[in-house]
Amino acid sequence: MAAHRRSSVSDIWGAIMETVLTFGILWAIFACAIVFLRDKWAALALLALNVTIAAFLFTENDLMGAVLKAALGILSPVIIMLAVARTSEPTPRFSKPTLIIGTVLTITLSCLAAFLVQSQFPTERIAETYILFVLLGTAFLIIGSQRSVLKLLLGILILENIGTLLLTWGGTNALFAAVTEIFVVLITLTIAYIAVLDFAEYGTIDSSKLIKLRG
Amino acid sequence: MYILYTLIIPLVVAALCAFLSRNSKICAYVAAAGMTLSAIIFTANWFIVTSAATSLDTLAADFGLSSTGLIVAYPVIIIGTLITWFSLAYINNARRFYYPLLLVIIGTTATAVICTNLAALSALLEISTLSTAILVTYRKGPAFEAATKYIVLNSIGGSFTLIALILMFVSYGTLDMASFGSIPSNTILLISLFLLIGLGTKIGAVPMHSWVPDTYGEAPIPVSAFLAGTVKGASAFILIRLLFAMHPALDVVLLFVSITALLTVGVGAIMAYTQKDLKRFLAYSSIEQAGIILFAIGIGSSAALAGGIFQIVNNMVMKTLLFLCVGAIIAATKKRDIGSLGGLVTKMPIVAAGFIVGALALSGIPPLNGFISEYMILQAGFQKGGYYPGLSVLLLVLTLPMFAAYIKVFQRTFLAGDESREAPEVSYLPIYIIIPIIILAVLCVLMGIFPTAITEQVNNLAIAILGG
Repeated sequence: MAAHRRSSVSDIWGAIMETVLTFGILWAIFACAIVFLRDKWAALALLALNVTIAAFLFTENDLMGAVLKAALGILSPVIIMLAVARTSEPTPRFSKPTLIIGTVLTITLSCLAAFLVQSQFPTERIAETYILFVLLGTAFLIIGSQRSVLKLLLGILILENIGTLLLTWGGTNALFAAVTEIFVVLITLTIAYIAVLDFAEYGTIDSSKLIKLRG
Repeated sequence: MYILYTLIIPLVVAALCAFLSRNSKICAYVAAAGMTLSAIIFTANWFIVTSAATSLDTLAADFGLSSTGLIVAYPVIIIGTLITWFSLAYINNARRFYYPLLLVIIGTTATAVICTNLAALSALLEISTLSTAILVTYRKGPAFEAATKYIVLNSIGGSFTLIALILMFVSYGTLDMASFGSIPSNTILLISLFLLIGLGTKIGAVPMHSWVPDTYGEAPIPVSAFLAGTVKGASAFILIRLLFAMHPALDVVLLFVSITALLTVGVGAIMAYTQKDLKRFLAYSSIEQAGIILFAIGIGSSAALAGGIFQIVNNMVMKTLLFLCVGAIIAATKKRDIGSLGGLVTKMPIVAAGFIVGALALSGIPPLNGFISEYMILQAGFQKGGYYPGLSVLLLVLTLPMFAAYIKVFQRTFLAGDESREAPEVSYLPIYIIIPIIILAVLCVLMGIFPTAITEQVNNLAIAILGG
C-alpha cells in the first residue's frame, strides 16, 4: 500500500514537473518572440504567454489565480494593440541577427546563472528556477534592446508575470494575486496612454528620441 | 480610530474632487478644506485626544496598519495640506485630474508608511506611481517626455519591489511584516537586492536616478515638491522597514547601500552645482539628500536609523520649503533660469528668508533641523567602526559642493543681479503661497532648536524597527 502510494505521488510529481517544463519552454518561446516581433505581434505573444500562464495555474489547482489571469491577462495585450493602432513603431535598435545572437546569449547566461544558484533553491523547484531566470533574462533583454515604449512595456509585463509565477509556486494568496493582476492592467493602461500622448506630441514613441530633457 | 479618518479623508475628498472637477475653483477649495480637516484631526489625535499609537494599534489587526510609521505619516499629511493650499494660488484653472490625483498621492503615501500588509503596501506604491505619472503630464509638451521616463523607470523598479514583496510572502509565509520569523541569509540577500533596485528607483538613488531631474523639472511645482520631499522620504522609510524587518540585515547589503549612498550624494551634489535651471537644481539636491538618508540605512545601527528617520522627516520639511520658494519665484517672475534672476531679496524678502533657511538647513548648518539629523548620522557612522568612520568623512566631503551650490544659487537669485539688465519684475504673491513658506521655515528653526521631542520618538522607533 505504502509502496503504491509512493509510486502514485512520484507519478503525480513527475507529471507536474513535466507540466512545469512544458509550460516553461512555451513561456520562454513567447518571451523570446517578443524580442523579435513587431509591436502588434509582440502583443499577441504576450497574450499567448498570459493564456498559457492561466492554463498552468489551472493545472496547479489555483482556480482563483487562473480565472484572474485569464480575465485580466487578456486586457493588457488588447490595450497594447489599441495603442499600437494609434502610434507608429520606431525602427528597431538592433537587426534581427543581432537580436537572435542576443537572445541565445541571454538564455545561455540565464541558464548558467540558474545552474550556479540552484543549490540555494528548494530541490523540488529546480525546473522553476531555470524558467524564472530565463524569463528574467529575457525581460532585461527586451528592456535593454528595444526603442519602442510599448516594447519596454512588454518587458515590464514579463517582470510582473515572474511575480505571478513566484506567488503560485510559493503559496497562493488571492488578495496578493488580485492586487498584482489589477495593477498589471493599470500599468499597461498608463504607459499605453502616455505613449499615445507622446506620439500625438512628438510623432514617435522611440524612447531614444524622447530623452531631450537629458536627465 | 481618528487616525484612520485622517488617512481616509484625502481619498474620500479625492473622489469628491473628481465628481466636482468641472468647476476647478470649487474643487480646489474642497481639496484644501479636506486636507486641512485631515491635518487638524491628526494633530488633535497626536497631541490632545489620546495617544495616536494606542488608537492605531487596536486597528492593526483589521486594517494591516501599525503605529510604527506615524512619525512619518504625520508630516506627510501636514505637508500635503500645505501643498494643497499652495496649489490654490499657484495652479490657476486646474485641469480636472489635478486635485483628485494629488489627494490620492497624499493619501496613499501617508497610508503606505504605516501599512504592514505586503499586498496592500504593493497596491499603495503602485497607485502612487501611476497617479504621479499622470500628474507629471499636466503641463503637456516636454512633460510627456518626463512622464514617459518616470513611468517606464518606476514601473521597472516597481516590478522589482513587487517581486521582493512576493518573495517575502513566499519565504515568511505571511503577508504581515510584523510577524516575520527567520529565513536563510541567501534569501535575505536576494530580497534585499530586489528591494534596493525597486525602492532605490523610487528614492532616486544612483544609478536609477535619471528620471528625477526631468520629472521634478517638468511636473507642476506643488507636485515636484511633494515628490521630492515626501514621496521620496516615505519610500526611504518603507525601505528601512522592509530591510530591517528581515532579521538580521546582512553586512554585505549594508555596505552596498553605503557605497550606493556615497555615489548618490556625489552625483547629486556635483550635478546640482552645474545646473542653470532652478527646478533641476533642486531635483539634483534631492538626489543628494536621498544619498544621505541611504547612508544612514547603510550604517544600519539603531542610532543611524534614528538619524535617518529624523533626516527623512526633516527632508520633507526642508525640501518642500525650497520647492515652494522656487514656485513663488516662478509665480512672481515667470522665470526659472538662474542666470535671468537676481536682486530678488528686496522684492521678495519672505521668500528669500525661506530659501536661505531651507538651504542652510539642508546643508546641515546649526541650529537648524538638518544639522541635528545629519550630526546623528555622522556620529553613528563614527561609532560603528570598521569602514564607516572613513565613509562618514567621505560623505562630509561629498556634501561640500552642495553647500557651495546653495550659496551660489542664493547669491545669483536673490542678491547680485546681472549688471547689464535690470532685476526682473515681480508680481504680487497671494497669501496661500506665502503662508506655507512661513510655516515650513518656522518648522525648520523650531525642529532644530527643540529637537528632543522628535529625537526621543525616532530613537524608540529605530529600536522597534531593529526588533529591540
